Parts: sequence; C-alpha cells; structure tokens
Amino acid sequence: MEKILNEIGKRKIEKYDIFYEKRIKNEVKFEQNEPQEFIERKEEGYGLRIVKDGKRGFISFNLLENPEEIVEKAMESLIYGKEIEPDFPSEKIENKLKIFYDLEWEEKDRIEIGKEMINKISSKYKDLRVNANFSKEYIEKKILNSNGFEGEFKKNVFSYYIYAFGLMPTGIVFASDTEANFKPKFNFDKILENIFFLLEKCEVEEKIKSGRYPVIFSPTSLSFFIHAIIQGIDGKNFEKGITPLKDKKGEKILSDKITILNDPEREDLVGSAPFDDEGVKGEKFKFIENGILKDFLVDLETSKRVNIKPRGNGFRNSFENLPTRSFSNFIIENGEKNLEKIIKEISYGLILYETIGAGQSNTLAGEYSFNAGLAFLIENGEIKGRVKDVMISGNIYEDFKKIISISKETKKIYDYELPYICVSDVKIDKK
Amino acid sequence: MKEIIEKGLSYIDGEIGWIIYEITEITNIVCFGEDIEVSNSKRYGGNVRVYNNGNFGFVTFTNPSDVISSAKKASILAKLEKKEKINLKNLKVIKDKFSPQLKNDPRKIPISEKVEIIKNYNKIFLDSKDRIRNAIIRYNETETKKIILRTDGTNIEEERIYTGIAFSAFAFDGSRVQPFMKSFGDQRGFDTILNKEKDIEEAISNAFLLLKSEKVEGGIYTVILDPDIAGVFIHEAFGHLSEADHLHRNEKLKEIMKIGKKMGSEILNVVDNGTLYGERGFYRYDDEGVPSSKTYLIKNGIFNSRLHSIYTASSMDEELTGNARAINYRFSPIVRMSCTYIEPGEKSFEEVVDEIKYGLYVKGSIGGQTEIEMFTFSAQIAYLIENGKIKKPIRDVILTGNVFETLKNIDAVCNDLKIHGGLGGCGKNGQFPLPVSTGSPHIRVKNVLIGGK
Repeated sequence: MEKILNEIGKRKIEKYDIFYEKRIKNEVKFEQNEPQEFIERKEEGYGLRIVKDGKRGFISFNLLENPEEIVEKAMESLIYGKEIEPDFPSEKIENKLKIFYDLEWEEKDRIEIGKEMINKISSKYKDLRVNANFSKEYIEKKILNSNGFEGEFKKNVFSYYIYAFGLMPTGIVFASDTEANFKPKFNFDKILENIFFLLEKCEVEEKIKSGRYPVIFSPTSLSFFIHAIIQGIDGKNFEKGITPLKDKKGEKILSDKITILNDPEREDLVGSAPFDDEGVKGEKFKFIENGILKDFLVDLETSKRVNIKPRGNGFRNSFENLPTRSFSNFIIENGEKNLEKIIKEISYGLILYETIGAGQSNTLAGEYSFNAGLAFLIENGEIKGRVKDVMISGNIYEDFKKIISISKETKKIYDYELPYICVSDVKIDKK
Repeated sequence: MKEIIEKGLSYIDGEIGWIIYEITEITNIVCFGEDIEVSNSKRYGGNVRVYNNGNFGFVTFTNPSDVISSAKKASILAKLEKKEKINLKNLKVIKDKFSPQLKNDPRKIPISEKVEIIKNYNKIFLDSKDRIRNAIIRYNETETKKIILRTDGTNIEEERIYTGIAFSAFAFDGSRVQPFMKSFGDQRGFDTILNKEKDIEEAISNAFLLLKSEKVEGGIYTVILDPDIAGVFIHEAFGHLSEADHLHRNEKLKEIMKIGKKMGSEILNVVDNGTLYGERGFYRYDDEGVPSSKTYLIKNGIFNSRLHSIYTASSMDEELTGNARAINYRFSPIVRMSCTYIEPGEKSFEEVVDEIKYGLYVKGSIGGQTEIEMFTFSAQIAYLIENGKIKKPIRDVILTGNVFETLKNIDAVCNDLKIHGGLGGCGKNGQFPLPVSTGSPHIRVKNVLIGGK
C-alpha cells in the first residue's frame, strides 16, 4: 500500500480510497457420493479509487509489478471518469464485533462428516446421489482513504452445502440444505432431518388444478422476492427513475405484516462487519417497516446523487469492482405463528421449497413466473405429496400485499435470515 | 514468466497434473443515462491441479513464484483420499501456440474512438425520452492469454479476444417498468459491435410496445421459437443433460440417458461444437489441454453422445470431447458446453407459421434454468398467432416443460440457423459467466406450459 500512497502523493491526488481484500478458501467437495476434490483458493488484491477535478477514476490490481504504471492508469481513467465527488468517511471505527474465531476445520474431519451424511442418505435412498461441499473461508479487508479513515477486520466463514439428487417415484428430485457460521459448528442431524423430510414427501405425486391458492414460500424459495425488492429499493434505479417504487417513499408497498431490515451487527450472520467496503459504519435500518417503504439503498456515490444518508451499504463483488449497493445481512423479520399452525390453517394450497427459473421475468417491475421445482400440496392442514409441472406467477407488489402470515421459524442462509411467508390467492398454472 | 511456471511441473506428485497461468485484461465502457464510465483492469493468476487415485487437488496462486509451493500443496491435497482406480484415457501430447487472426482487432483501436461510438449509440437512447425512461449500454473487451501445461509434456499457449455489447432500454408509465435487452458478442473482433443503430431502435420500440401490451394468459400453447430463444432452449433443456458429470456414478440416471435412446423425431439434430472459429463459445483447447471438437448430442432424433472431461470420459469409457472448462484460473474445469445448436431443417418460417391455428411466436431470450428433466426459459417478447397470422404482442412469457416430452413435441425445424453469443454466458456450480454460444433455426413446439395471469 505504501508504494501506491507514494505515487498518489507525487501526483497531488487529494481524494482517494484504497480497498484491500484477501480471501483464502479451502473446500472439500463430494461428487456423487464420493470425495472428489480438495481445493485451496487464494486471492488478494487492491482497488484504488481517485477523485480529481470533479471526476472519479478507478483501477484494480492483484500483482504490484509497477506502482507508477498502476497510478498512471488510474489517472488515465479520470479522462472518462464519472462526474462525482463522493464524501469519504473520516470517523475511526473500532471493531467491537465478535466475528473472528481463529479456528480450524480439518479436512479429515470434513471428509468424515461428509461420508457419514452420505452413508445415512444412501442407505435409505439407494438411487439418489449426494453432492456436498464443506468449506472454510478466511476473509480480510482493509480500507484507508484521504480523509484519514483507516480500518481493518478479518473473519473466518465456515459453511456447508449438501444436496441429494436422482430419480424418485415422482421423477427427478433435488433436495438441498445449506448454512454458514463463524464457527465450524453445525447440527448435522438436523440437516439430515430437513433433507429426509423433503425426500419423504417426494414419494407420492399429487394433482392440483390451475387456479388461485394460498402458497407458503419457504426461506429457500424466496430468492425471487428478495431479488425484486433489492432492485426496487436500489438507490441507483431510484436515481435513474426506473424503479416502480420511485415515488413510494413513506407509502405502503407490501403487506403491513412484513418488515425488511439490514443488520450489520448480528454475530450469528456471516455478512456482519464493522464497516462496509467504503469504510462507512453499518447501521441497523428497516428499509421496509410494516409494509411501508422507509428509504432507498445507497452507497457513497449514489448517496451524493440522490441526497440520501449512507448507512453502510456499499459493497464490492471483489477488489476488482467499485462498490454497489447491497445488504450486510438481509433480514425479513419473523412473525408470531409457528409454521405448523400456518399449515394447519390451510385447507387447500401449496408449500414451495425450490424454484426453477426464478429471476428471469421482468423482476424490476416485480413480476415473477417460475416452475415449482420442489413443491408439496397442502390439504386440510396437512402436507401431502409432491406437485409437478406447475408454474407459479404473479407480481410481488400485488401478491405480497396479501400475506396471511409469517412464521416464527426462520432459516439462516449465509447472510440472509428468512421466515416462511404464506400468501393468499397465488396464480398456479398446471399442465 | 513461462519458464518460472514450467518449473512447477516437476513438483507435481500424482498420476497426472496441470498448471494453468492466465493474464486477462478487461476494458469496460458503461453508459447509464447521462453517465459514462470507462474502466480497464489486468488480472494475473494461475492454478495447479493434480489427479491421484480418483481425487483432485486444486490450488490457485497469483504470483508466478508461488507455483512450486502450490504444486506441492495440490499434490498433498490430491492424496487426502483414495478411491477405486480409474484408468485414464490415453491423451495426445500437444505442443501448440494459438492466437486468433482478427480483421479489426479491438486492442488496436484507441479508447477515445470506442467511447465515441458508445456515446453515439447512447445519444439515440437519450433522444428517445418520449418513449423510454432510461437505458444502459455495456461494452466489454476481454483478452485472455493462457498457458496450459500438463505433466505428460503438453504445452499450449492460447489467446482469446472477446468483444461485445449489450443494451437495455427501460420504458416506464409511472407504475410499471418494462425493459428490453439486446446483446452481441463473439471472438471476431471490433466489427461485432459496429452498426447497431437499428438494434437500438428495436430495443426502444419494443420496450415501449411491451409497456402497453397484455400479459400472457397462463395455459398450454403451440409455440414457434425464434433462433435466439430456441438456442437457449436447447442449451438449457438438452445441453446440460448431456454433460456427463452429473451421472457418471448414477446408474438410474444412466438408464434414462442411454446412448441410442430416442429423444425426438428424426428431424432433430443437436450439436455442441467448440471448433466454430470466431463464435463466443469457440476455443482451440479446453482447460485440460484437450482439443475442442464437434459432437453430435442428438443425431436424427437419437441420443448420440455426451460431453466429457478426461475424468468422466475415462470413468464411463466414452470418447473425449474436450469440454472441461473453467471461467478463469480461480476455478477447476468442469464439464461445460461450447457452441450448442440445433442443425437447420427444411421448412420455411412462413410455412410453419401458416400451419398454426392458435399459438405464440416467441422471440428473444432473457435466460433459462434447468434441473435435469425440468427446465424453464423466458422470452423478451411474444406475439399471438391466429389462423396462420402473427398478431398482437404479449409480455411476460416464461415457458416450462419436461425435457423428454418437449423434445418429442418439436414438430418442425426451419432452414434459418442463427448462432448467438452475447455478453453473458452459462452458469454452473458457481461458475458464471462462461462464454458460450447458442443457436438454432426457428422451431415449432407443441404443448408447452406457460405461466400467466
């Protein structure tokens, strides 16, 4: 970093920030019931953003061969740089979050866990095959800027992903489970229980006719909804006038049962961090509170354009990219009813676990239309067998106004915490 | 640099091993409304992959001087477990250098000229504020120089230059946003992004048109797919299914996907062809150093061949096809497609439309997804067909089906093959986007389920 700072000094660049990221990911991969690959992925690099004469330039690099050339290229990028002067933070932030545990997860232990789980699944379901991945990722981030901000933190993220797939009486089945944690502590019996529950329900096929029914969206099926919401409240889309929520701040856009927040300080969700990738302290904030749109999501640059306070939502895909707007941890607040009770109250409907083709509609407008990859019929308050060849479609801004209930139970999926959401009158098309 | 990388080979301890090193330079020009941004970045990196007793060790590195420690580490990882021994296929030792000859090399064009072209395109969008609210244009140029070394003496240098452009127009009526996208991308050089004024105009008028059109009625339709969406359909529906890595140890799935099984009518021929020079999915060698090839997945309606890596071909004792690909040095190669397309038939588009009493003409692709037998894919725009006439536009058409049923329901293949590249690519096992091409002539499919109002 010093060499780069020298070059910056020489060129009288008064405004800049440097982002450094290091990641070491260690994976144990199982393919079709057997250990297959052992991986160590190391990556580190820098992103340098400079501001001069009202314009912003950027360059990233992962091999510092020639610091002079790199800063010179950053200067060149100013020629066509965006006309913006972000206000870099100056507040010093001390990391008080407990997000780093110096723990190992031995490869041998991971191989053993994988073998044991696979044995349990294949002894019950011989025709299925299991793929799995057990990983440890070390993440280190450092930021410094021309306003005097200097900060760094590190964390270890342990995670697993497991899925069983193959031919069942109802056709091809994919049943999966995933979780991430700051410690390598997982309840593998519970994971198996989840997978067995899904597989057992795939033994029998149930018929459903086209129509409108209540649907319980499980946490794993909600990606289409999250994707549409993030696009809808995105500060850049707001700036450019292409979100349907453009004039809806302070208005009710979803059911009053739903509250969506960003919480960067949850020590049980792996997206937590003392500051974002621009050095802005993360703020716990309800972007949608009881269905009302409270504000749009901004990073430093969009904040300046749309005059909305930055709340620590500037994140980079990697050191190679400039920040874009995102959540540290995306949380949908849970409700008061148990899932069991929610199911009991449905006389005829669906519970959805997996989607095929979600996010390929006009998501910006809130539209969705996908195949119910894994969905079960609910009849008289009980989950029955699997329904197939079913399309589920609608618009989140209409349908998620009709929420019947949100479950008490939630599932943590990496940096998301999501409940089950039961929506009435969802359009189902059946072949 | 190459000499340093080569030193790593002698530290590999396993049945076979690879070292890949890549230097990638990316130039992006992005316009979003009035804003224009230009960026350039250069990335260095490599990996060592070692195979031993059925297992792989894989280690990535950035600095060439780390190759020896990475080779040692990958060798240790490969020995963490032992499996049943598989005799690997006999591999051809290859020594080759390949760099494409471009008519109009984007690397020789000054950035100012590129910016000027993009700005001129953007002006068309900015001048159309009566019909659209905003627009995005993305220009991308990616140059990759790759060294592929194998412990058997294979030593390859391959260079690829991708050029492409994508744009989206957004129409807005105060409550609904309607995008329309178009993209072009291949390895033919800078000419690929020139003369796009008509396509920009098409994006603007279609976004505006769709804003006022009706949503599709859910139900079962006879559809005609245009070459763009038919290409995505065959990629999603059958291409992924023919990748051997999801079934090489699954006897039940092998039964369903038995070579020689009838998949469709005799008019159906599906090809994966990595040798199509200039296409986005073209490559001379895959990431295991195996030459790309032309593989008939379906020949005259019969399942003919799978796509393979060295490992899957060896474990199933089938021919190598050169389809082990990684999106970059950070990932190990897995079985992937290249340029996948339906070969042209004999019918004309007009003839096929003429035979439809009630159906949909579906155009342009937003994307698709598959889970072995079930797939979905979504269209940019569709038109109602009534009594052989193409009528009003319809929006939000997402098609779904079971691949085995749907392939049998293809009852017409036209004579107008078109291959598309674009700027995105294919995603699999966390590796996205891999440059691929998809293509097809117009095809007609009966009994397709579409979700809707």
